[in-house]
Amino acid sequence: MSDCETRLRQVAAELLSSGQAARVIGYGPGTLPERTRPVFLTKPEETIVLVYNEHCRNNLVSYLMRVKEEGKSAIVCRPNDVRTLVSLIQEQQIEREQVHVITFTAKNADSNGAQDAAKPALFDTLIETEVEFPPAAQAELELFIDKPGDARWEAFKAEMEKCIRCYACRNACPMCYCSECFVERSVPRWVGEGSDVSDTMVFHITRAMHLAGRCGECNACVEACPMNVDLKLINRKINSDLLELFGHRAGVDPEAPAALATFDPNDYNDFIK
Amino acid sequence: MSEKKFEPKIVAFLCNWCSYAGADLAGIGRYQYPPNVRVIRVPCSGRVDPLYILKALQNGADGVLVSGCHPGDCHYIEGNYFARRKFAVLKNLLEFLGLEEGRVQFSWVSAAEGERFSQVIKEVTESVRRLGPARRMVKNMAIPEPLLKEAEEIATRLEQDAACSQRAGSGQS
Amino acid sequence: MKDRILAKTDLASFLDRLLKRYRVVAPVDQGEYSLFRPLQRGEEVCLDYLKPARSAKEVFFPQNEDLFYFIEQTQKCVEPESIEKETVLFGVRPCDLKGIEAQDRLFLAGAFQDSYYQNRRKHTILIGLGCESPEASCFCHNFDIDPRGSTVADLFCVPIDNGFYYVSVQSKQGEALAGDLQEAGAEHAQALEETKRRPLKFSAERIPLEELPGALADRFDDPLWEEIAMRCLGCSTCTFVCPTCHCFDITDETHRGVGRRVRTWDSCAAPKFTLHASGHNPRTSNIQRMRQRILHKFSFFKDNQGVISCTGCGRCVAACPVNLDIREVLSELLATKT
Repeated sequence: MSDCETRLRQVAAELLSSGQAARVIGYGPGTLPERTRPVFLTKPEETIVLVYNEHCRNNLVSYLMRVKEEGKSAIVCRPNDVRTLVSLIQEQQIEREQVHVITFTAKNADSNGAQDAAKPALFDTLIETEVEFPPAAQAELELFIDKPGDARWEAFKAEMEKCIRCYACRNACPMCYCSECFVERSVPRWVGEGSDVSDTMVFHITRAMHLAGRCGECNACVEACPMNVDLKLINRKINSDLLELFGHRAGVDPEAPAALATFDPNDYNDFIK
Repeated sequence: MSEKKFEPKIVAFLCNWCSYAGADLAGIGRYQYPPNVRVIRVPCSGRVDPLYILKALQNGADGVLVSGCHPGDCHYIEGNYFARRKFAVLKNLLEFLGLEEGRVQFSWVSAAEGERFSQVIKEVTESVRRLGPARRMVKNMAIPEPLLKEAEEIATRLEQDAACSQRAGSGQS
Repeated sequence: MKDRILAKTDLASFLDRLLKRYRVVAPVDQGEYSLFRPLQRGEEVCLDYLKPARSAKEVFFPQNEDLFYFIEQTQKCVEPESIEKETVLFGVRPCDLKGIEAQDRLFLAGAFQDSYYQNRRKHTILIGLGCESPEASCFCHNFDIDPRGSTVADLFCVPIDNGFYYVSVQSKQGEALAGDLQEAGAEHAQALEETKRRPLKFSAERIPLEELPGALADRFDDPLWEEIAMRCLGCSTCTFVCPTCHCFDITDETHRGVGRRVRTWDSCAAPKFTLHASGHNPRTSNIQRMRQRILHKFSFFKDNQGVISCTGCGRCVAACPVNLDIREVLSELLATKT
């Protein structure tokens, strides 16, 4: 057990025993090797199960949406998970006072620079840790861009053909909280059922566009996918453009509106006749 | 023997207040432009969900155009500003993924720009014609060829019948 | 019908010989997992992973099945081409074979037979493969499954010592496939017996599933279901990777007057699964859907079809994004029975 886990359990137990939080949402050991799982703790003695290591996948922020009516929650967040919480607060889906954020110092820079590597935008408890989550590699994007158009399309299509439309990616994403998703609409039916590859492309591209300016690169979608579809590819391209064109990154500044929720009269216009 | 020229199908989302009015003006002014474009009128370019552009491609459009008011002139004040950001992201994404550049195009055309509208359509049609028929995002339902042919013949016959009865109804021969 | 042996090093060439006469489907490497795929060459077979990431059900019950094509105007319907070539499905573990058996009961038994399923099923010869050791997620020992034998297959290969498979020939169709293999001798039969006697170590205790219907009978409104469903994301992963799950949807897709009716996998975990045309949805919450899934697989299906709709393959456990473990769920339900 590491120092950061000792501290984590201490903090969690205090929050519950003092009544400051009605529950702690964190990671506990999984039933398979190298797996952890979301746990929901309400008693101080239960906090002994909490873990924090590189096997922590799932963005627990999505569970906040289920319990927000029921008292304050303490939540264990990986550094990029905090970004999604910031976005949800900006979208008025969660109130800041409803959450006690327990997060960790990020040792690694994320894909687009080290500005927020030191301190997350939002936290109530900050614990030092050696645990790192591998950043999405910029190099992968560049490798992809270097290919000619035909090869890029074939590679993209091959990824889409792996998809079985289980929607684990969408359900694991805290930013996907629509009560009816566009793929569930049947009148009109926007997206066919089953795994026809053109329908799958429409699903993933559209979902990525709906997430544009809101995706915090928490990686929950990639980790949830049972078929290892490279979902990062699409979202990272969008995020890279949003940074380059509009100087924006989702969830790092609680005061900055989401990239597609605002505009500048002098925005990039060259692509329009 | 002359080869039949490829006639692209272009779907154009035109905002009601500017681009659609501009298209109307082109008609009034008798400015000629290729008949390849199918117009879908929307209240504002900001209304166009990326989903619609993708659906048009999936359903067999060879090219998609979205056209709105010039920045600063949006009937709803800011709709086209939001659209501009959204479409910049979408266009870059589609080209990144390998869709041919020029399948999805954007323009600002005002209600006064009848001649310009016809010019834009000419440009878009010719650039899409050069790209050839769209194949990449088209949904393939694996319908057997003979059935497809039969359906096509029935559809053509129905269109001709409708056109005939329309001409008869309006008193023209 | 005499049993045979096959050297592991000869597997690829055996499959190549089959490829001359049959379409051969077997586990093929996809990068980080394998899937059942048609082979072009015998050497493509990949047994590095204990089982393919998705079950064998997709060979007979594919995710997308065109039922027929039609012209809207005239209502003319054309069925898809029927299967021409016989298929050999190689490398099916006993858990997946049990899954095929369960799906056979659903799609083939009774007054109405599903012609699409039947068409694929009757043109396929099954070659099963015995397991050498279970994975952490495996729990087939709960379901009357022998990891080293199954009568469902036409041929069943058990890895025995010295790099061989003992090939049990269990049907005439199997005999047709294995005719050119060396016959098994007494020493091979003995090696098989020794192999079968070796105990297999599963990571979880056996769950007394026969007590389950009783335990579930009065538990419909138990608050335990809320706890169980708490973690669940409500995606369709578990149902799609499962060898026995069989729910589907049928939709018509048209374009310019012509179209098709297509059957696709559906999932009782999906929010709109039970949405009626009236707008009413009897199962609107994740808790209700989770409860129904467990009850269906472990109680109702047993009542209706005579077998539990689970083979202990553990794919749902391994694939679930939040590590929802059905073994744990069943144990909890049994442990606190009233």
